[in-house]
Formats: sequence, structure tokens, C-alpha cells
Amino acid sequence: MNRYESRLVRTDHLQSPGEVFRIPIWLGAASAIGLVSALLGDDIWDVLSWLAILAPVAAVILAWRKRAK
Amino acid sequence: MSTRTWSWIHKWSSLVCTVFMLLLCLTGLPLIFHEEIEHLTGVVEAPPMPAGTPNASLDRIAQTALERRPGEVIRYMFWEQDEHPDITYVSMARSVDAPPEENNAVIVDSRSAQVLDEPKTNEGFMYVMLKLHTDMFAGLPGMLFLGLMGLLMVVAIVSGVVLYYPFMRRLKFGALRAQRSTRVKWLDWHNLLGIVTVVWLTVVGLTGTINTLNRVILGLWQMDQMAEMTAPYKGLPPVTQPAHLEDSIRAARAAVPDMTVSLVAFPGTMFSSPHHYTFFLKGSTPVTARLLKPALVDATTGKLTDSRDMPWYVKTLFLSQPLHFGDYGGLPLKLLWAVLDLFAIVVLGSGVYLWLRKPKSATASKAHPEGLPEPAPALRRTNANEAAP
Repeated sequence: MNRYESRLVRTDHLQSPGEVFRIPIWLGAASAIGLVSALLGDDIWDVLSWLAILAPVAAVILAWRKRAK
Repeated sequence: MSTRTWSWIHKWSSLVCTVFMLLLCLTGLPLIFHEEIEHLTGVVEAPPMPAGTPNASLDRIAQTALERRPGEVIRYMFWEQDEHPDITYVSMARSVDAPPEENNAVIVDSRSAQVLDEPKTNEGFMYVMLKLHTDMFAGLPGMLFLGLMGLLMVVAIVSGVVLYYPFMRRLKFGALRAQRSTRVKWLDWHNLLGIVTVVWLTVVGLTGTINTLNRVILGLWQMDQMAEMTAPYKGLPPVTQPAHLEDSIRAARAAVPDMTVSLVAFPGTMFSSPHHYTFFLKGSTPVTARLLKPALVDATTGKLTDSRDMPWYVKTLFLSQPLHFGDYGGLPLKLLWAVLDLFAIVVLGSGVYLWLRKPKSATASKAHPEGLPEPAPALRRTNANEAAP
């Protein structure tokens, strides 16, 4: 493994569950908000739903752009 | 539980359900867009008429349908006020107790009471997709089986989340190692796409399982609330002189004035009693549009018998539908639904790949020149941690 990859993808310490799951919990919360909000109303609630459910998709796009080539 | 146990649970719950989940994800993809696809392939539209043209009476519409298909009976009539405000859909069958799948559709213009179309409802690409998705052409057992597979998928998701921790202790979120072996590459994608779709896939999986129980839930409602409301009619002879439908729908509307009728189930069908027209009314918000409220009208007198809110288990079923279909937030939500569905397909496919390319035990690693891929040491480390007091 080269050093470049090491810096990009590896952490310098063993992470706690809190650290490992911090971002997944935020993305999960966004998904949940998105799933519920479009049920609550139209217009602004739909927009909120789209933005919130976009979060996990955006996280994947960001990770893909940052991937250790 | 040890990581090894979770690993075993993840492997077997996934292996059993993966083929079916792939089928569901693939067939579900076109189903997300069924409205758009039906529009493109040309569903019938009501011809333009001056605004405010009054509707024909419901009895005349029923008469039109009965004349079009002599010898058959009407089981349901329904309306799609938002999409097709001037159309009445009539669902007919050879008899009231014909199999529930039988659905001879007659589409009638609500204003002129003219037949607009008699579409075939049991052929074509979308029909095959729907059947594969709901019961694999295997009826109720197929449907319940897919529901069970949905539950197994939830087990796979939960165990996958538990395993995410030992795999990711040394890795940043979203780590995608492209320079390593193909196996490491797909492991990273499996972990990333798996963890970001957890909430969505769990909700779609569980609501899908609830939807497979629709006939069970309907049967419960029949024995419970429906039986209570129609208790005085028990043992009465079947309806011979049905009341006017138009009078009946007026009685239903008067009973629930703030909602609109979206379906009427005729006497003797799954959604009604032998002695009633059951009108299902919907509200105008996304939630109340799903939480249908029944109004039972005596099919002999045309007078209201009762109208109650559905019990919690039927409400759960009703709310499970939009959360499974993704059809409650416009086209952008459907597109996101499709993207997350594609993510799920990659998670399933990479999962199978990772299982097929499973690393041999440490002693047999010569066949794999790269040696053990990342997860194995990580797993060993966790096990060692757990072994410590």
C-alpha cells in the first residue's frame, strides 16, 4: 500500500463506534426526514424530501470523486 | 455476539434472499415510473368538453358497463381525481366471487357515460413486471414468500451494519481503494453503498413485506371492524333489488363531507359486505389521501349504515404503500428512488461477488498473491478484543 492511499483513506488510530458511525447516522437521519416529509405535505415538504434524500446519493458521489486512484 | 456470529448471520440471510431481492430491485425499477410509462404508451384520455359539464349519474355509468360486458358483474368502480378527473374506471368479473386477480376493465367517461376503452389488464411488459414483483406468478404463497424474503433482507441489513464497524475501524467514511485488488475495490463499494442505503432499504423492505400481507390484513378487517358494523345484517338474504348507486354515493358523501370518494366496492366483494356498497373516501393531503375511510351504505335502501376510521393495522398497510412505491413526492422523488434502487442492486451484486471470491484461510493464501484482503485482519483484531475481559 502506498503512502498516498494511506493518507486518503486510512485513519491514524482505531476509531470508536461513534467515529465510524457518525456520518452514516447523519445520512440515515436525512433519509428518514426525506421519507417522512413528502408524506406530510406538498410543495415545500416535497422539496425538503428531495434535498434530504439527496444526501446519501451526494455522499456516494463525493466518495467516488475522492477515490484513491 | 461475536463478529464471527454476525458474519455467519449476514452471509446466510443474504445468500437466501439475494436472488429474490435482485429480482425485486430489477422489476421494481420500471414500476417506480409506471405512471410516466403508461402516459407515454398512451392511456386513454377523456375528450375535451366545456368546463363544468355535469357528470352522468353513477347508475347510468354502471348500466353502460353492464351492457358492454353482458353476463358479468361490477365489482369495483374507482376514480383518479388528480390524474383523470373525468373518467370512471369500472372493474368487472364473471361473478362477484371470481378470483381477485380477475379484472375486466371498462373505462367510462363520467360525463357522457360513453365507454372510452376496454384495456387488457393482464398482458404487456408492465403487467409482467408487476406480477414478478408482487408474487412471481405464484399467487398468495408467492406473495407471502417474497414478504419473508423482505424480512430476511432486513436481517441482512442489521447484521451488515454491525459488521460495518470492524471493517471500517481503520478507514475513513467513503474510502474507495481503487489501487488494490478487485475484491478490495468491491468490498469498499459494498460497504459504502450498503451503509448509505440502510434507512431507505429498510423502510422499502419492511413496507414491502407489509404490502405482501394485504389480503391477510383485509381479512382481519373483515372479521373485526366490518363484522361489527354489519352485525345487524348477519344472516339476511342477499340483496335482490339494489338501491340507486347515485343515492348511495350521495349518502356516503354526506357522511364524510370533507373527503372525496375514490372507490366503491360492490356487495359481496373483498372490500365490502354482502349487503353494502362500501365507499372509500380520501382526503386531500399526501397522508389523508392514503388513509382511506370506508362509508357503508345499505345496498337495499341506499341509506348510510356506518362510517368509521380504519383500525391501526389497515392504516399501517395504507401508509406502507407510498413508502414502498415512492410515488408521493413527484418525479424528483421517483428519480431518487431509482438511484437508491440501483445502489441496492450494486450492494447485492457485490455481496455475491465477495462471497464467491471469499479469501481462503490464512494458510491457504498462496493462491491469492495479494495475501489477505483488508477485512480479515480487522476481523481478527476485533475477535481478539472481544476475547479480552
